Amino acid sequence: MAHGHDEHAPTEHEAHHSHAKLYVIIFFVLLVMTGIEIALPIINKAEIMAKQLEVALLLGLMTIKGAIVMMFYMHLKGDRRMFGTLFVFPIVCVLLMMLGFFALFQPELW
Amino acid sequence: MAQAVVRDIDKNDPGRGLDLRKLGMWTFLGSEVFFFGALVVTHLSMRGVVAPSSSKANYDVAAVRNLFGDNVLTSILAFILLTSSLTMVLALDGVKTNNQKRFRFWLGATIACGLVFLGGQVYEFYHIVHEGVTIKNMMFGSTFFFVTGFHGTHVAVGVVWLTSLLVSAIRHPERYNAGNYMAVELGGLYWHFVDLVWVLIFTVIYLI
Repeated sequence: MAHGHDEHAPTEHEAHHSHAKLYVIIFFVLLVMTGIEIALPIINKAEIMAKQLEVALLLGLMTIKGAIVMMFYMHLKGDRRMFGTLFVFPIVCVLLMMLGFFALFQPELW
Repeated sequence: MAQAVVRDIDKNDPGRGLDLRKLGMWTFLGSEVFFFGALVVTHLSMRGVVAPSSSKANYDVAAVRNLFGDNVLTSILAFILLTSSLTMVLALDGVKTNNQKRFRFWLGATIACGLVFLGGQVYEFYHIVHEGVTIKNMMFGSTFFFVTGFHGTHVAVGVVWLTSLLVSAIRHPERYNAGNYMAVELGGLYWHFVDLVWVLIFTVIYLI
């Protein structure tokens, strides 16, 4: 858990263990997922899958990418649950609202 | 005695173990999620609407969206912002491991990525306005510029924030270290949030 400045925080001589390798691996995972996201609409120009399925896949990839950034880069994984609740609750609300608006205003994507 | 203990807890640790700056930042970011959510949802509901009085009344919205082509520019921008998230977390890792050189290098790289992103967005706006889509003549333009413009503003604020951190780290090398990195962590949280918003915008506005 990452506490910035408290009495238990390491001093200058008590540095944390580096997680640089993990961050780089996560970057490449995100990069591959972004590549799939970009390729999907291009590939589907030939209409090999239903538009609804393409949209569902894109929204799924977006959600997983967001969750990975939050868990590993924003360190929500292992941090206080309260921070996660404060941030994830609005995200769930927005995602539900977005799905509702897709259904209402772009029924062809539903 | 018990009252004295309670008083001491309140005085020394008003957040009962919580870092209040971090709590404040997460609360702020939570409110920002609602802000951007409202903008994106407005875009979703309005992007097909063309103002009746507009000279672009017959402008096909699908054609407007084709301005993005196969999203080459925005894909590059997505890559840059994703890279900046990596450089930011490496900067935090640098300060946590007391590696000042690495901390400053990656922080500088994050700022550079932010500036390149802003340059790309200005170019994109120029191109789209040049094609006749403005903030005034159709709802697509209005909502598009609002969402992406507010995101760009957040990137600009992030660049200023991180630049001030970098300047402070250069002028006072002893300020940030493994025992005191909250300022870097808060800047990093904001920057990752900006990246998260782009993940949403990129998918919902450009790809769908």
